[in-house]
Amino acid sequence: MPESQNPYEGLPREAYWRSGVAEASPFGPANIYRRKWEIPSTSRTATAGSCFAQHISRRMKASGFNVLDVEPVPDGLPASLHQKFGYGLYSARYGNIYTVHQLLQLAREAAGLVRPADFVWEKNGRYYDGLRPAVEPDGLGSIEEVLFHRQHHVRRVANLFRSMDLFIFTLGLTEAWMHAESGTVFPVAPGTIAGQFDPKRHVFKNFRVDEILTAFSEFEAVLSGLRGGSLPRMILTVSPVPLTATASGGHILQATTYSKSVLRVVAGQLATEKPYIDYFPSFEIVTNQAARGTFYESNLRSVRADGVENVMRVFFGEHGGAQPAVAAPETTQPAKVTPQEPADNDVQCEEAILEAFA
Amino acid sequence: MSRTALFLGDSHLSAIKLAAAEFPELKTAPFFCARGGDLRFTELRDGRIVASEGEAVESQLVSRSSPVRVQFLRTGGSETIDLSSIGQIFYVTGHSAFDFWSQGYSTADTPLSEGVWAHVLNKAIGSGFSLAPLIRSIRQTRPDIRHYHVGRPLKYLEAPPADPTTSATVKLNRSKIDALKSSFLFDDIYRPDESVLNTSLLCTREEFCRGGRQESEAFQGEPVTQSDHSHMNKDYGAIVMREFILPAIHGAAG
Repeated sequence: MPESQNPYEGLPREAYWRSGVAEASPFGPANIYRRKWEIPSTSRTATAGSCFAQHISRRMKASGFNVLDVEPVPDGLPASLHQKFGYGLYSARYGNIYTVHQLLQLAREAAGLVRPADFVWEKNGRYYDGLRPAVEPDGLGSIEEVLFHRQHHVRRVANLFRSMDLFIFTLGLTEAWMHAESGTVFPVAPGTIAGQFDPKRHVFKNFRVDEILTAFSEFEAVLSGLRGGSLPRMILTVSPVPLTATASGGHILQATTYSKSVLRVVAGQLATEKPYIDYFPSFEIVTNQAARGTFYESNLRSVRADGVENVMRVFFGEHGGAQPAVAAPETTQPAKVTPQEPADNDVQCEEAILEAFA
Repeated sequence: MSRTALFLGDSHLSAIKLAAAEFPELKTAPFFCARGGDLRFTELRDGRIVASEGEAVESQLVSRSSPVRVQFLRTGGSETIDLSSIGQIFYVTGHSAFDFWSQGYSTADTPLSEGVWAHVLNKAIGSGFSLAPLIRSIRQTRPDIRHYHVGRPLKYLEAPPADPTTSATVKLNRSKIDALKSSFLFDDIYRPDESVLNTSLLCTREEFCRGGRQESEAFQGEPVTQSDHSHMNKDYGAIVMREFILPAIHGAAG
């Protein structure tokens, strides 16, 4: 390097805040994502994660990717009810998986290594699977039926984990409620959808970076065991949807920033260290300061449809698949906000229920 | 005034018709048959079931050479069906609610909740049943007539799954249908069981499809071919008669 140069001279435009963000279009910022590897068209893709992941799953299916569904909707259930009963949201009817610890627990259960406890919740004489409480909105008739349905579901998840070539996982939360004695991790607190919260049995946990990394490593080990030693490729992304509520004792803004920061560190570190894991910047695309928040609904939490389209435009720009119907505007100014159906009207989100308790 | 039972169905009606000869009380019962895809082109008019008319209807008929009225004439002796003396109608068409294989493999080995069954069953015994508009019309003008779904037999399968998990799933799903069946179109539906099904409860036993197709085609006046796995013989029909049809008739008369 000539003596007059410093390491910040001559970098690409995207390396500088001014040219990469402040003066750039928020619609698919140039070079914000470069794929680590191609996704072959035959690749069997599994999807899971928090509410935002439903958008990714749906759009990948619509764009011709081979997204697996090991619990397909039964013939005769009207399309208007698929989401209500948890069909077609992901590659199996696990509902939203908000934390890596929840994912690890599911994998362990699929491998026959663990049996979760305290997860059959009762409400008005009906029984619910507390590990996926929203997939049967009317509940089931008995505890035995919940257990039978769950056994079937877990068998299908085991098949999914064995057969997938690519796993796309959206990290959503660090906060979770657990059954203290067994360590069972719930997607939502008991008592919100069904069941009863008992402070003697249920504890709050806000997972740290090191804990999540350890859990992910254990997830990989279990997955590898199920697959005879191999691992699929993975794409990790962090949900840009803020927390609805926090039980951390702090301000929701701090809690959200903490959660998303932790998850971003985890995803980034894994993608840096492992050649088979790629990081996709959904979080950055939606929260981009250049967008001035216009990718969020008026509640500043739900992601608008054009925000989702923007995310997928970047994804498909690198991985192929049909592009969204609306082309990105040329201007660097955020588009004028036009009324449109919230993208979150078409996702099922247990976490959003917490708003009712405000 | 004692009422007569009417039997309305597709080619699967033959098993019932041929078995009826063994049951004297059904000697005067009318049996009307048309191809399954054509039966929906019927309507109620002036107290009679008649074939729907018009070029659009004719162009959609499965049996292009035999309009519904001709099929009725050939099988029942009349182009239209007079309901004035009818007390019960047995519909021998459409998939049985218990036929999980025809609904796709998933319901054979996937437990479904009541919440899901409440919608899925519409296809077989609710608004999706091909003659649902006809039944609703009849209920409006003749609320005294009771309607029973017999449906098509479950096919014979050479190798149905026999593992305990599938068996438990099938039994659970059947119990859900039992609990929900009265919420749909019919006053009752035929529930095939071990008397005709094999131990998986997913298919009819092979002994009942021997000769079934030939009997059906002879009944319809068509060339006789080989047996198949879906048309049952009169032995099957006799069991359905004893276990479902006659009790329904006697119960209504009681």
